[in-house]
Amino acid sequence: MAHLSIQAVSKSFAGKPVLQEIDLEIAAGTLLAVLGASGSGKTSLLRLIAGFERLDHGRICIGERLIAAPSTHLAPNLRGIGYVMQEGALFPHLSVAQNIAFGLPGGAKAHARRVGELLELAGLPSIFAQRAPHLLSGGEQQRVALARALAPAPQLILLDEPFSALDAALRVETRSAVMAALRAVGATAILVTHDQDEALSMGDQVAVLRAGRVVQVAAPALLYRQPVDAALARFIGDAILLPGIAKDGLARCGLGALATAPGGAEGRVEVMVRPEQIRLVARDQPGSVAACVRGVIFYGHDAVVTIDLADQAGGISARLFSRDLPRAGDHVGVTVDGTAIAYPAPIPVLGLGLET
Amino acid sequence: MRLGSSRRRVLPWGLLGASLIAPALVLLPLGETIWQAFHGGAAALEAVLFRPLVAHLLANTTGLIETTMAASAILGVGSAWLIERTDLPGRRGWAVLAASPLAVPPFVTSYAWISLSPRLEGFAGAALVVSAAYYPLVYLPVAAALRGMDPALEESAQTLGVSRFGCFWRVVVPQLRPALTGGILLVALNTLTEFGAFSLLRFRTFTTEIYAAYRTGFTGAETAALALVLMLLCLGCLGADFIIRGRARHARFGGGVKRTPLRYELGPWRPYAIMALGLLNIITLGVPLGMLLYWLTQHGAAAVTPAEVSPQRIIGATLNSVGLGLASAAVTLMLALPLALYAARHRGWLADSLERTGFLAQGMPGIVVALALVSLAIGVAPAFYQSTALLILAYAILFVPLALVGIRSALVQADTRLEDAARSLGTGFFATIRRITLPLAAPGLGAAAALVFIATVTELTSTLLLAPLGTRTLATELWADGSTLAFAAAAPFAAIMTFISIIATWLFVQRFGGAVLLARQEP
Repeated sequence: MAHLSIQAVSKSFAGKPVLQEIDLEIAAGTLLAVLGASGSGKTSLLRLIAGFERLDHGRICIGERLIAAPSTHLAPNLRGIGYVMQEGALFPHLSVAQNIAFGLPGGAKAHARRVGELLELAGLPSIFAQRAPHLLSGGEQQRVALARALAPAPQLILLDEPFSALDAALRVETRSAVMAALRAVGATAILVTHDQDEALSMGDQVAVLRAGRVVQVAAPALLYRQPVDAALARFIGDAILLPGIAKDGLARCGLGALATAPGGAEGRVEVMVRPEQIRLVARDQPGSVAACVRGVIFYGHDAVVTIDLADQAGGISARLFSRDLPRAGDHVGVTVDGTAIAYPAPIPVLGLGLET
Repeated sequence: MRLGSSRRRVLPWGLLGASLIAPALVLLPLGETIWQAFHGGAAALEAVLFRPLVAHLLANTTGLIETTMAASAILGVGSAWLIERTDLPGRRGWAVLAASPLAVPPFVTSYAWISLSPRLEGFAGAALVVSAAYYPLVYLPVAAALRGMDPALEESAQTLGVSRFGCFWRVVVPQLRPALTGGILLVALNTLTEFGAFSLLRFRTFTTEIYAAYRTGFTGAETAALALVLMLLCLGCLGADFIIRGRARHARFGGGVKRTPLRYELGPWRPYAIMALGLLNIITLGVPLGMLLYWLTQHGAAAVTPAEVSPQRIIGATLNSVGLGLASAAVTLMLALPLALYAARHRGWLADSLERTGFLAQGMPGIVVALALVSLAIGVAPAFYQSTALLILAYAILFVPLALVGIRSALVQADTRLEDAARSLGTGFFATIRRITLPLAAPGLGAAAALVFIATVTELTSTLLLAPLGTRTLATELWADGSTLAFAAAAPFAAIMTFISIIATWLFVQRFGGAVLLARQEP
């Protein structure tokens, strides 16, 4: 499998830009998750790479080979790129084996062994080979679609929200089967999704797309801990955002004086911590901030505790292990584990009182 | 919609009894034909069947059917693909034009062509007329299938290294197969039962031969044997269609939102595509309607056989056609309604088989039904022979399937919970049907009645055989003048008939959508 390089790619539909100056590098054998809300341009990006649409500016290369530029457009069938569609898009008139062998010259009979290998790779029993696609469950159809895309040994695999149509239980199972198969062949892959958990758990790198632009590309852990702006912090998981003043690596806010990650803003800032960084301690423990528990929502493995801070209107939510939970009305102390992120404070909108 | 299936509905015996009538009437000519054919024993039947004439007719018929099937397939798929899957300009207009030939009766088309050139007599003319008249039967279902096809399938095939051309053959065509074969079988069925067009074109098929034998006085075994062969061929087509439709049901799966289908850019091919479709429409619509207008403006003397028509003849024939059409629509609806109600509200093996028996009439050519009724009337109830009642009975038998299609779809849309609500308010079974079901289903009933009306006005064969002496309709007048080459005299009848058919068809397509045109042919 090969390295994919996307350089300064732009695309408009009817004068409306959907992708602007996209730069992405995907190392051979890694999976890039492209995360974005609907309308962010993530499917358009995949369709440009696959060759279903022509790009307006920029270039796309697989390895050293230029496949798309304003003057060059290699037809989709000559690109050697596998594509797994949202609903699988298995050919209804062909058996599972014929579907998998579709891209192989000579048909299913000539490739019985390869079909068997691919079924096994996708975690499906070999008796599925002769079944009709409509007899399979949604998750099984997606695995067959992956096996079909992998069959011609493509340079790159594109996955377009392949799990969004599946129900929760099936989604987890299908995800891990697909991941295992992609790892086993060392595939270079791009997974497009609007599901944060999916992007963080599957991607070696995650690129966040917003309104046609790449906001940040980073490894999942880094993206989660240090999102580039407050909106992104809220988009990826839950975030507590408090106004504060930052100076010399310390931010003063309703949660006390918190160490900030390097490279943060100074002066009037917005301080971001994740709910699971909050710790509840004895109310008089040194270094803690006094607070009062407003409510507890119990989830089993963990719980969300809403806390009113002494000098903070509205309160914050903390995510805690479900052992030793406080009760509503308890007076507690609050500390923060790890560093906080400081973003430049949003420009206050006069009269709306948003700066509290 | 089987809302009532969990609670068993009480079945009034009156409804069951009334719904038996239509299937029984359909079986009547079927049984009579079989009985007449086997009347003289198997040896006699064998002697009648294994003759050079029958072989000749079979060869003629199969040759014509193969040609029209192939031509309709090419024309239907080609125009559907151009209209649905390319950036052809004016696609909506082309789509209307492609469906329109169904509103022009084929024997009007054949009259137009034969009046253009007598050299079109025989096979070539027959193939031309039937293909032009019936290719919409392929176009309509194939266009619908192309519209409903998920573009993700073609895109998947492309990413697997298959070219666009390969995609068409390996992905698009296999998915069109149920629609295509269904349409082609309908073309075959209609070609088998067509009489007027072949009669005017002097092309010998089973229908024309049965009519000739009847006219020259051969009754009983000989004509019945030919009718039996024709009926078996038709029922074969119907059965094959039924099986294919049953299979096709499984071929779709996976829900989700489908994007609009891919449209290919015609690029430099655009003018050629427009020219091809234009030529097709000149052949299927331009020539028939143009020739009709031409003959309307000519004096009787301009035709091969000079003849003039009096306004009285025209008015008389029009009134007869309209009157028979209305009567036939009313009677057919009355016969089909209880059966459709029973089948829609009390599903089960009995309802299914009764309904299927009703649909058998689709596989019964008008000439066979008419002939069977003639011999039944002569043998059993001579008073009915040459009566209007018998003619309307023939229409009712022939068009029960049309009425069933329309009523059934209307009843399925009427919510059964409203009927339950009415019953719980103390309304009786039949009062509920009158006060709730029928008003809710009224538009569908209207569509069904109009379909039967059009079919009756354009029906030739059974009218020729069964109309009382002196009762002339638009269809019989056109046929009489057309066969004697009095083209100018035939024109007013052809024009009025075509006008009624086109206006009525256009009215429903406005109201119920293009699918109605197909409902005309499909169970």
